[in-house]
Formats: sequence, C-alpha cells, structure tokens
Amino acid sequence: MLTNKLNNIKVHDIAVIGAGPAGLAAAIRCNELGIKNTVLIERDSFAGGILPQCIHNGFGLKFFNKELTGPEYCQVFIDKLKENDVNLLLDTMALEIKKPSKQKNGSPGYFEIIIAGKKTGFEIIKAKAIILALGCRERTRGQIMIPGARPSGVITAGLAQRMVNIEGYLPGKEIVILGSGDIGLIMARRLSLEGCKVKGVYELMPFSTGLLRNISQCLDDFGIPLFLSHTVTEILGNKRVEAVKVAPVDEGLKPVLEKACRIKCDTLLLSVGLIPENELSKTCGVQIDYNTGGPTVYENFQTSVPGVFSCGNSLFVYDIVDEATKDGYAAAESAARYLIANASCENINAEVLFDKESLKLYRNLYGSEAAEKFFDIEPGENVAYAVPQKISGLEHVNFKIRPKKPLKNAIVQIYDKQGEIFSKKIRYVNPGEMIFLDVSKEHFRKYLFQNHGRKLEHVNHGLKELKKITLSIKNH
Amino acid sequence: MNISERFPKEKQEFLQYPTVTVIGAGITGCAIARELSKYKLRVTVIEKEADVGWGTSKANSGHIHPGHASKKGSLLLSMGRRGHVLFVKNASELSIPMRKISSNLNAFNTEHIKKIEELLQQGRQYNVPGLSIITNEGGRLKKMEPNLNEDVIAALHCSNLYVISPYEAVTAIYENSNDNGVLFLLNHKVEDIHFDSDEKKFLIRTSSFKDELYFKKAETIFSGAHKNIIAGKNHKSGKFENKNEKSIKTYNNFRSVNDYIIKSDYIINAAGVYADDIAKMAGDDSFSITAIKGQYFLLDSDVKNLVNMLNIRVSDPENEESKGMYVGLTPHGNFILGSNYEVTEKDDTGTSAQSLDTIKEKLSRMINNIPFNKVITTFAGVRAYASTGDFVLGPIKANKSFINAAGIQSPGLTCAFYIAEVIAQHLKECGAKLINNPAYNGQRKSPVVLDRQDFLANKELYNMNDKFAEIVCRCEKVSEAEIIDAIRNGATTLDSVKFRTRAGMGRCQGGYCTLRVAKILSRELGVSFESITKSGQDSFIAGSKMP
Repeated sequence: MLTNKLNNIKVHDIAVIGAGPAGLAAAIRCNELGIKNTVLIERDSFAGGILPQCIHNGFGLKFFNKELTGPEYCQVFIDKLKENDVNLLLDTMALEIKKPSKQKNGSPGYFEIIIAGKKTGFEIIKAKAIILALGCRERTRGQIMIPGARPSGVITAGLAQRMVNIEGYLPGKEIVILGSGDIGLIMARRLSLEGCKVKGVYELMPFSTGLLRNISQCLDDFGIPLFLSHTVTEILGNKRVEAVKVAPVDEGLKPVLEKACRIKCDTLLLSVGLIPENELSKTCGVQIDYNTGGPTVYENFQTSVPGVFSCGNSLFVYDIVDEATKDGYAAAESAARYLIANASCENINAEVLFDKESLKLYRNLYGSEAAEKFFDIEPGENVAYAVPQKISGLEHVNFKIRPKKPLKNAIVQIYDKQGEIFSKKIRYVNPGEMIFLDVSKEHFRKYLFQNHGRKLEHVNHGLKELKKITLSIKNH
Repeated sequence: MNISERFPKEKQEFLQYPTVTVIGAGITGCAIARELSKYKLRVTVIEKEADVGWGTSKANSGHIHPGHASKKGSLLLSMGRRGHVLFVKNASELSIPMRKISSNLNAFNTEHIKKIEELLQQGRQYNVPGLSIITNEGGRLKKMEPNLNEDVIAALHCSNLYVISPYEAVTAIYENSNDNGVLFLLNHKVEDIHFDSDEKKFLIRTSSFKDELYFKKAETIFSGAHKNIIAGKNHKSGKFENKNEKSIKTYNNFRSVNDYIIKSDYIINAAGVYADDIAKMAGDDSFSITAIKGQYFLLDSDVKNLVNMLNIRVSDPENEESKGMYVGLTPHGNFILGSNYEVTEKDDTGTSAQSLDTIKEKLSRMINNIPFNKVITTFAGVRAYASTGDFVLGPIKANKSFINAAGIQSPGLTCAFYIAEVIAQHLKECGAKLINNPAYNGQRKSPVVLDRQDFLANKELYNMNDKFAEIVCRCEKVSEAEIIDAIRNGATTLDSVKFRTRAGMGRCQGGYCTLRVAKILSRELGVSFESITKSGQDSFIAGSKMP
C-alpha cells in the first residue's frame, strides 16, 4: 500500500528523514499546517527512534508536565501521526540526497532522495523541502582510542540498552562503565536491577556529564560508585573482556599510570558521548559545524542549503527529548514558510505563519545569498557550542548553549566588538544541562540601533567586522 | 544398485591419495592448500581460530611490495619480485580486489639518501620496474604530495605496487580451496603430533571449543570425504584429558574441549607466530619465532586528500628490520597509519598509548595536517620473525615428511603464492607423488556486491533478491543479501561477516549493525542468538537471555 502511495505522488512538498521524536514532531506539524503530502522516512521497522528502548521514565516533564517512559512518550506522537495524513515509510534507508538542479523558470526545483527498502527497492523520492532528523550515534572505543586488547564485551551503552530492553539479553555479568553520560547512568541502574554487578562508573572529567537527577537516581540509590577524574587505561582479555585497568588522570587529563589498578569484569560499557549523524546531510553539501558535529543553521533551522532544515539530535545532542520535539515543530514551521516564500505549495495556511511584512522580510533574508546577510555566533569563554550559529537579528532567537565547565553564579553574555547585547545571570552552570536563552527581535533592534546608530538592514550589508557576535559564560 | 554404483571408482581412488595436513589457515596456509589442491591429494587445513586469516594475515599493511626492499642475500629479497608477479596473476584468477598505488620512501638526511640509493640499486638488480629517486628540488616532492613535510629532501619513488585487504585475499583463497576439495577444520587447535613409524603416518591431536556450532559442524566433518579424521576417545563425554598441563591452561576459559585425531602422510607447518611450537612437536628446534607487534590507526573515509600515495619513512636504526612507518591508503578509500616494531608475546595484539603516540609523533614529522580526531579505530597485529632472519621453507631434519613454511615476515603476503609453489616442490622432492587433479579450477567469482557509487544501478539486483535493498550496516551500506552470502561462504562469527562484507567496519564500528548481524547469523546458521560470537570461542555478543 505504501509503495502504491509512493508511486502516486510524484513530488512531495516535504520529506522528513528520521522518525524519532524530532522527525515525528516535524511530520505532524507539517500536516497540521496543511501540507498534505509529507513523507516520513525511517530505516528501522518502528517509529520512535531511540525512545522505544528507553523504558525508564522522566520523559515529557516539560512538554506534558508529567513523567512518561520513552515508549509512552513516543506513542503519543505515533498515534497523532496515524490521525494525520503522513506517508510513513518504515524499513527504508535514505542513502543520498541530490540538490535540485537549476530550473530555467527560476523556481527552486526538487530535491531527490535515493532510498533503499525491502518493499520499494532502490527508488528516488522527490521533495520541495527536506527536514533532517537523523538522530545521533555513540562515540566508540576506536574514537577515544582506549589501548589494549580487542575482545568481545566492549560495547556502547546505547547498544547495551537495545540488547536488554528490545532483544531481551544481558550484555554480561560484571560491568564497568566508562563515562558518566546519561545513557551510561541509566544503564548502570537498569543492569543492577537485572542482577548484574556494576562495579563503578569512571569519568574522565572532574565533573559528571550527565543530568544531576540521573546521578542521584541511578547511582546513589543503587550504591554504585562514581569515580571522577578517572579513565580506563587498558582492556585485558583474549576473546572476552577479563578485566580493565583504570587510573586517575592529572589536570591535563593524562592518566597517572603508576596509580592504575585492575578491575575484574566481563563487560565494559562506554558512555563517552554522542555524535550527530550527518553522513546523509553531507551528501547534499550541508555545511557542518565542527563544534556541534551538526549542520550550521540559521535561527529558523535552515542549513547552509536552502530548503534543507535540521532538527533533533542530528543538529546537536539534546539533554531531554521534549526540546527535540519542540524544535521538530519549529523546523516544520520554517520549512512551511520556505514553501510559502517560494510559492511552491498552495495548501499551506499562510496566515498562521506570516503577516505580509514578515513574508517580505523572509524572502529577502533566506534567498540565495542568505549567508552574506547574517551575523555569525562564535562560542567564547566556557562555551563548547551555541546553536543557531547564524542569526539575522530580525527574528526572535532561542539560543541553546552548551557550557564547557561547571560554574557557580555565572553570567551568560552575548556581545560584539561594540559591547554587550544581552546578558542573563544563571546560578549554576553544568555541561550536562543545556542553557536556553531567548532573545527577542526588539532587543536586537534596540541594541543595534544604539551601538551602530543605524537600522539593522543597513548594518547587514558588507560590514564584516560587525558580523561576529560572541557568546560567553563568565563568573558573575 | 550394483557394486560400481554403490562404491564409485573415483571415490575409492580418492581414498588412495596421500593425505597432507596444513597447520594454520593464514594466507600462507591457504595458498599452500590451494596449490596442493591442483594435485591428487587429500588436503586438510587445521586452524585454531573460528575463521581463516585471523593471525598475521589480518592486521598488516596489505601492500603487494614491488620486491626491492628486503635485505641482501635473503629469500625475502630473492623471492620478492617473482612473488609480486605471481600474486598479481593469482589475484586476478581469484577476483581479489587490488588497488594500484605508487609510493614514496621519504629521506630526511644524507644517511637516508645513501639508503634509498642502495635500494634503487637492489631494485635494478632484480628488475623491479618503476623505481626512481626524486629530490625535492624546485618543490617537486611537495607538488606530488602537498601535505609532505618540508624536511623531506628526497624520495625513492615506486610507481608499481598494489594495496589489498589481506583478509579479503585469504577469504578468496579459502573459498576457492573449499571448491577444490580442501577440508578446513576451523576452531581446532593442534595439541600434539606423533609420527607412527610402523604406519609411516603422522597422528595429529586437536582440541576444539565445544559450542552449538561445533555440534552442527561435527556431522559434516565426520561425513567428510577425507576419512582421515577420527574422533577422540572423549568425544562423546565432552571431557578432555591431557597430560600436557600447559595446553589445558590455554583453554581454561573454555566451557569444554573435545579432541580429534587426524592421520596424515605429510604435514605443512604454516602456523605463523606459533610455527616454532608446532615444529618442536615434530622434533625440530632449528629456529624460534619472535612475535613483532605493529600498531595502526585507521581514519574515517570522509577524510580526503591527506596523501596521494603511500608515504613511508626510511626506517630508523632501531627499527631496521621493518619497512618503516607509513601513511598509506586502503583499497576501500580510508587512510591508514602505521606501524611500529616492538617485540611482544605471541598472543598480544593489544594497542598501547605509548606506541600509538610514537607513531603519531613520527608520522606527523613526515605528513602535515594528519587529522587524528578522525581516527575510527586503532589496532595491532603481530608478525612472525624467525631467528634465522629469513623465511624458513623446507623439510625438517628429523622427518622429511614435515615441511616448514615458517618465519613468514614481510614480504610474506606478496610472496604467498610463490611460497606455495616452493612448498609443493619440496613435497615432491620428499617423495610425494604430485599427479595433476583434472577437476581443479582456480577461478573464483567475486561475490555480488551493491554498487555503492550509484545506488539506483542496483535495481536489477533488487529484482533478483529483495534483500539487496535491506541495508544492515548504515556506515558501509552493506545489504542483508551480501551478509547472507558471506555466511553461506563460511562466515560463522561477527568478525567473519565484518571482514568479508565490511559490515561494522565503518565509523560507528558496529553500533548500529552488531545486533542486526548477530540475528542474521543466528537465523542462517540455525543456532541460538546467545551462541553467536564476535570471534569464536567464548567471545559471545550477548550474555544470558533474560527471564
């Protein structure tokens, strides 16, 4: 049935790639806005992304004001999707995106997505706009280069979670966890509940990278020790892990090998970070930000390729799913605006999204030379990354800022060469918790008028030194 | 049915053929087995690992050397050139993918220049084509290789070498040998060798790890046409009695061990780093093997234009035995950095921070801008260096029916097919009758793989088998059809599938496909999910099933 549907629709208005929380939200919102031929492409045999394997609760506090489990949270959206008219393609992998070739009549043309699926085979899906919600992958042993043997039993925490919660197998009996990322903490509790002995969680940094609530609920409540400023220095075992060596690290994060000790275990779980998945994005030339690992985006979630939007964990790694859902909605609205601005979709409810003035502004902004007109946001002191990386100064911006180190009584500052644009005091800053900063368009206007004595529209043309805005987290 | 139908003559004849047992299924053992299958012989290969090519053959540079770079007066040098030629010829018969590359051996000082001049002379002596010395005059080298360090003053350029995936090569030879009637006993470790002087036959006792797959395979082995394999006394009881304490120790992780006795007229010892231990079992202590470890970095395939060719450092005095550290290319488009030279234990394939740092530091002085943040994995391999400093090829003094193919250090991969020919010649000289096997077919068809440049070109494959459109490995884009094909060609573990199809070899290192591949293995082999291993023995993927 799905295949037939695919053949009947020659061009989709929007293709959403990835049916995790961000992709589900984006597809639903597209439909709500009147876009009737959205296609949602998912490589797994079920929708929901990583959520179906996250059977613990704590999801939805922001969005639904109550604690749901992962499967419950995504089921809300899967049900909603069913009510809507979205073409969901499961078991289908998007392999490549081809940018539209230039059209003679000046219209933007169509993207071509090459897909592979058991039902469809190798086919092309055409779309006017694309929303990338590709999720993220786990950093591996190879990338952090843990020395030693290469036996079985070294696995990433997310893979272990799938093994336990979806497939119904335990990864081992005696577990050591490297990295205090959230999945590692959740798995420490999960495996303890299943009778495994979790011997400890070792974290390279002098602070945990997970949510504080997870440290208390997953480690403290189960008596699992957390060793900060420690790392695994060697893996031992021929065919199966027999032990690991752990050692404290000095201030430069170098292991102090004289203090290394051997811990007997049969499994080493790695929770050492997540990397936005963007192999597909790169196939159509989307520019990637070195700091986030995700696409460089404007405040409206558009990537460097007009008509391609990014949201969810493939944009940057979120702490909580509610925010990914929210940004999925927002990306869908931007994609809809893009279609209206390019006059390539008739059904969209334009009034919801634009007044006349802002439609004109939008067309002016996100045209072919968009990058020229924007301010670059640069991560400054104690900022690992900030999203969006480019802003117009004409629209409301919701900054997401990842701090590098914990800090008490901090102040987040946005400034350029001329002085401060915006600041906010924050009592406690922690790398495990993203900072959200709303800056209104009025604020930008006011500032730019005061500091530069002219209207923003004029600033935007050709003044390179004025086009860098820095974002820092400092001691207050 | 009459008597000639019930007992076909050609089968009876087969039982008259001499039996040859090759110990070790690395590239050397497999190439020898294939060479011997050209003759009317019953060939059995015994391998302790769950798959072929998992020793030295697995982790090395994969270079098919042109044949000029070994030390004077050695077989390593005198066999090098013909080894290269024979490899190219056999690789084409066996459809082993080869990537033609060129190389620069980079010199930093006048000592180095002297060295490369010597090598050039040596190359001329052995008719190695495509060699020349290029100096950096007018920035010539820098033009060839924009990331080359300014300190390089000259290079020995070679326009004529290949890089291959060594395990792809071993797998190809294995499949072709199988087709030509060679029997492979994988997962079997040789414990003891005895020569029965009455019967004039060797008795080889092996042990193996008893798991689900073992029982599946046992049947095939006993019904095997070779009929020279006898189950040990304890086969049914599952208990292994061994007077040799040491061998029990090596198996102390095993749940249970069984043994076979294999009768054989001849033994070929191709046991890699363990070849001296095997030779001792037959009474030969003329050489010993030192395991030399080399460590490597593999970069993400999205790193482009780091180098255009293989760049080697002239080896340092302390490393003189090795060919020097290099920044190279794999046949699959990744860059590979390696390797050092360190004496180690035979079973040690672990990496160490210290050695990796040394490699990093030394190579960074040859090639600028190496993106070490793009490393997807590091690994190590051991090479077998014989105390003679050379290949050890030929019969032992104590018993001419036992022939060594040992000490196979670099350029051992290049010389594999030549070594096989030499061993066959030795076998003949030792009295074995080598009668041509008319059924031999050396051609192997390459496996059907997806077109990964143009995915739409795979529509025909999909029409043939819809599993070609089920992508199991997201990074390397490997389909279920290719994985099933690998399993039908002998893969029984996750690593076997990985080395055959590249599933799990990409940047996520199996994060996405591990469980998917394990499920396919379990289904195709007809064994439980828990019994699937990463690399045989007790390297299980999943622990116990949850209640």
